[in-house]
Amino acid sequence: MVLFEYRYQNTPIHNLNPITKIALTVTAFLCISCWMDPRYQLPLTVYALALNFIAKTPKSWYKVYYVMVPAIPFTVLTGFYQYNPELFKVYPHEFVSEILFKLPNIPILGTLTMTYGGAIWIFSSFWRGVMGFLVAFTFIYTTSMTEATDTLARVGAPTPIVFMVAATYKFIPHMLRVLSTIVSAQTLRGWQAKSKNPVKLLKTVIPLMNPLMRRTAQITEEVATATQIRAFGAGRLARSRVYKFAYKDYVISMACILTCIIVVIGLFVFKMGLL
Amino acid sequence: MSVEFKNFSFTHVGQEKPVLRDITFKIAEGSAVGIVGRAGSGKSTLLKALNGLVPKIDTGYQDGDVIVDGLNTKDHDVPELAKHVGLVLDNPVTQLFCLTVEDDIAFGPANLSLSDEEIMERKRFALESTRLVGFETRNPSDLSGGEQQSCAIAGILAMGPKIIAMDEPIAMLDPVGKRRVVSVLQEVAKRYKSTIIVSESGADIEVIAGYVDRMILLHDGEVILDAPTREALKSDLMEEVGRPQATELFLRLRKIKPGIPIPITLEEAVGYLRDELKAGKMEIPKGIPAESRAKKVERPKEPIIRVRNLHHVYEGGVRALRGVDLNIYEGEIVGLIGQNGSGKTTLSLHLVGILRPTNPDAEVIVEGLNVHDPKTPVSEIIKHINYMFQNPDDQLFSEKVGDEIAFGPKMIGLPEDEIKKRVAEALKVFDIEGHENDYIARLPRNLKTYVSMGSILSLKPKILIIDEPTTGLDRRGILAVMDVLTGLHREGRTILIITHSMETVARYCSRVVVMKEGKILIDGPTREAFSKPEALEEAFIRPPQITQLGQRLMDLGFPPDMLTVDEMYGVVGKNLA
Repeated sequence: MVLFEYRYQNTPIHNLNPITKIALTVTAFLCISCWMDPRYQLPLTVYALALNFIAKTPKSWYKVYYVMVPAIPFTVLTGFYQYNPELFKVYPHEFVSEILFKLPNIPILGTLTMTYGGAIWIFSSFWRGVMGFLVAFTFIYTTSMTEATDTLARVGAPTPIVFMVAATYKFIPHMLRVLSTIVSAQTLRGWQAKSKNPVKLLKTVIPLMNPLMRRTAQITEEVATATQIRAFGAGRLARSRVYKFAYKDYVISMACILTCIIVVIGLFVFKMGLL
Repeated sequence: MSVEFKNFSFTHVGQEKPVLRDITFKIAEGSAVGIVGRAGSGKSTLLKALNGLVPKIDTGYQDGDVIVDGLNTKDHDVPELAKHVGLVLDNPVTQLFCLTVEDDIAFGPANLSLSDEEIMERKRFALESTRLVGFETRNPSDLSGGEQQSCAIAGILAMGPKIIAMDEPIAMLDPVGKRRVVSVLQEVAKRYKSTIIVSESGADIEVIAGYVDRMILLHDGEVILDAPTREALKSDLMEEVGRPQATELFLRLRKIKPGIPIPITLEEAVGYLRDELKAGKMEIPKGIPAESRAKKVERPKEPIIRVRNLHHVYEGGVRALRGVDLNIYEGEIVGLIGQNGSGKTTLSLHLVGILRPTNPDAEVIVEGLNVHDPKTPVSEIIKHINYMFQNPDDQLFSEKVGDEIAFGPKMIGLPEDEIKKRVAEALKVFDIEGHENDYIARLPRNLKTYVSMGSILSLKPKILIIDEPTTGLDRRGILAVMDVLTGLHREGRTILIITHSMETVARYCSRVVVMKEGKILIDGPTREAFSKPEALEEAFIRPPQITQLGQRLMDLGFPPDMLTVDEMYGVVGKNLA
């Protein structure tokens, strides 16, 4: 099982028309982008988790959340600067201005003040990332490269864009497999990435980076060769499958369009989802 | 003419020496041609020139012309030429682009802007021709090597090219996978009158020889032999890539009995010997001379590796190992064989602690060390046992040879003097003393394999596991690597070789462990294991050609357990009138 690789499964989401899957994903991302309020994010999280559950997305993919860890200090630091109540459009200004705690005399930064508004902002910013990954996992796991490229070609996307999508689908899982092999090979020569000093840690990664870069170059060339010898770019990309647009696809797609309209109008007219 | 090379030469950008020089030949429509030569002789470049990858993607300077299906490759782009020439790469994994078999097959036709109906029809035809019906929704990465190569061929076939070129298409496959690919090719050529061009560096010459009707031998970028297969195999020039074992045997027999025919397939050799025996021109062999048989070696009481009830289930539910029990004894050289995906690599990675059992009651003990215990650090395990990966590029990272070999000893904290000593020793073993300052990136594949092995050897493990040490090497390279391994074995090391090369196993391994679907199917002395063709067939394995020859003549008194050409020569030579 490799991270970020489509796998055929007989689940209701896998069996949807690719356009419906794209509609579901776009709608979810629109909601994630527009809604900062945790009260709105909660049902959205339930929706994203439900999609993951129905699609049977592998649990090992959640390891990817580790990549969010480096973003935590930056997000928290930015949260300290959300003390101006004018930044909040919905929450009462008295509430968001209330001080939670202070960190005095921080070198360079001075005194940092965390307000309730700042804390809510940190939580919702971080949670957006969590939800974004959940939705992306479902889309990647349920939508094959062919479905993605066929749909792009159908909506008239230029060949280079279609190529980039196709190459990404091929490249990322392949690279992850290669990386796993390289890590094992170096571990067997006594390599370990254990150091609390970031500079030393960076140095220890060299035994991984050199072979990885070499293989990246190799694989890039292989992907280019593989596409060329299969006549990619010889003409307009035809559909390689016939997709049925079933009744459920109509219903879901219409529901998605409706949701998008409500979200956008709600945002601009009623400040729906804002803090 | 289907293909024509006219005074074709090619030099890579940044290099002075041409990879191909003054290549001139023609290939008729519907024929099957083998492009043979040692690694680095220019075979892959020549195949890439057929669809313009050389010089358009693999850039360089071209002289002369290549005409395919009436088109000069200079005047057409690669995607355009791809409609006429289908190229199958040596490693199918790099070629399979999509995430289900049916999508991958349809990828090429979709690029040709065909109608929905036409794409469906071509997909159906390609699936049927390559016997992949039933595999439509499978992920190509889950298929066995032979199935993956069939899928790569299907993807090319669906594009309907008149010419199919294949770069060492069976190099990475198990014996049954090799046979499957060749029979698919035969069927395709027969049904669609396609021109088939196959490159081969020697390791699988016996499989290719039975299929192609002409061989073109490349040496250092030049054509040095171009003849019908039978004539080519008789030529001394072919010694550099080798010949089928049956051909080799009869060329030696010819010195005793001039005028005997030279077979190029097993069937021909069987037919000749059968006729000779029936006609009374040959005496029934008495068996393998005692001096050829290896002396029985007493095993130590305690195994150096002890595996009990080992199971491994990968995430996603793939059961890679299903209760493996195995003992390996000190000083053994064991061949671990089986179909792609049978669990060989998973088992080996457990022995070095990279993978841990998924069942709590499993036992993996290496030199008394509990390798199955997650608390046992890999850094401790590698002092006893180590594993060399198939592709040296996964392992090598230093700029220079010496630094690479010194990396492991440095990591385990050895003093500087000891590190220098170990580097010198490793260089000596591989006969590459004086190369410590060579740049790794510039080394040929066989030297990279040496450096990779040297970097493991410098850790001085008592047990070595070598995964496909011969992949990517030509026959001469294979012999050199195996000589080194034999030397290490003589020094007292226990060696486990994972390989698809049955000739290598027959020649170098005293014991064979055959795996199938995560279980050990056969475990015993090589001679004994290879004398059970039915059991081997169950594991998708076929013994070497020379062993098969004896087995096909068993009814006439031939011993079924001959492992090498020397042994067969010893049996047949003295009985041939």
